[in-house]
Amino acid sequence: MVRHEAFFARLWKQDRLLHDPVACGQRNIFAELIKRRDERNKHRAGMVRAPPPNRALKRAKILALAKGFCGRSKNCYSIAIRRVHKALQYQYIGRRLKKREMRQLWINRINIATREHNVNYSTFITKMVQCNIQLNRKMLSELAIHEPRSFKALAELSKSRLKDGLLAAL
Amino acid sequence: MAFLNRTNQSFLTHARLWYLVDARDQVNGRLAAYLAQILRGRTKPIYHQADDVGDYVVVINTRHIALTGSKWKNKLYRHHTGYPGGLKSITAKDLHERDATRILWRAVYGMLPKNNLRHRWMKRLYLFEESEHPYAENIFAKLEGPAPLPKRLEEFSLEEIENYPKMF
Repeated sequence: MVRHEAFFARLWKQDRLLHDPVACGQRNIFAELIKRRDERNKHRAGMVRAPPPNRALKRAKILALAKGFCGRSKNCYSIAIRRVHKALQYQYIGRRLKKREMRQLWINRINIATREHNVNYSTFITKMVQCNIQLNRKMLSELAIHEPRSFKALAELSKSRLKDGLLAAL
Repeated sequence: MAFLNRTNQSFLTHARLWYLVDARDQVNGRLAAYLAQILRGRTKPIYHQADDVGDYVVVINTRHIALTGSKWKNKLYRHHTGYPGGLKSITAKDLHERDATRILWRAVYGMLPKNNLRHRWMKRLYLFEESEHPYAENIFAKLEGPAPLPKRLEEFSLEEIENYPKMF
């Protein structure tokens, strides 16, 4: 099935509608809370001290982040705040780990693909560098999956370069 | 947006293939390690550890599999029934007589990572005691076993044996 841009535009629109409470006909709780806070603090305009924090708004923010959590973590503020803090820590770690793990995966895939042509990863990548072929690991793994013939050409190149190298050493 | 149907264009890369392996005279553990890699999809460039991308493997002639050393006599396959004193054990030879596919099955099962995908991988492994199997039309390719087999003495013709260079 060939999917066109219009198809994806429609999907994105649906997605946006699903996550937009106003578009779904629900109350926009954040807007209401902010409005209420501003009204309450109207007489404080021009005062030096900051107005007191809006507890309801603070809670709504945390519970919004805790949406989809397990058990009472998604409903009960005192538990939700702990889980949200921990979740944000995990997110921070995960964003960094993602880069390493993706690179590992690409290397893994390149190794599998090169071994199909009787070259190992180490030789293959060394020869790519020596030939000044500046394809990164992500693109090499993409080629291995979607353009096996192009990848085969690269593998053959690395093999022939290996032979040249051995002959030159003799 | 031509890149969107690349998956369809590289169909064979994404397809699940059926392989046939002859277990005759292959060493059990080495063959199991080889099969485990294929079942997990470690031979395909679309490999991902959380995805189930493995291939199907049909193994024939498991009755004629090889164990090295004195393992037929001494190797024990143990399991526990759950009752007190319920540790049962059976020698490789007896287990092989009871079910000739079981030894290879146990070896592959033990070599796969212990996770929820293991049962799905094992479902794609078909073991047959002899050379008959009902999946002939599915087979994509026949794979060589991990160990190259030397030519047996009975496979040499009389002429070849006579012409073989001899010291005396």
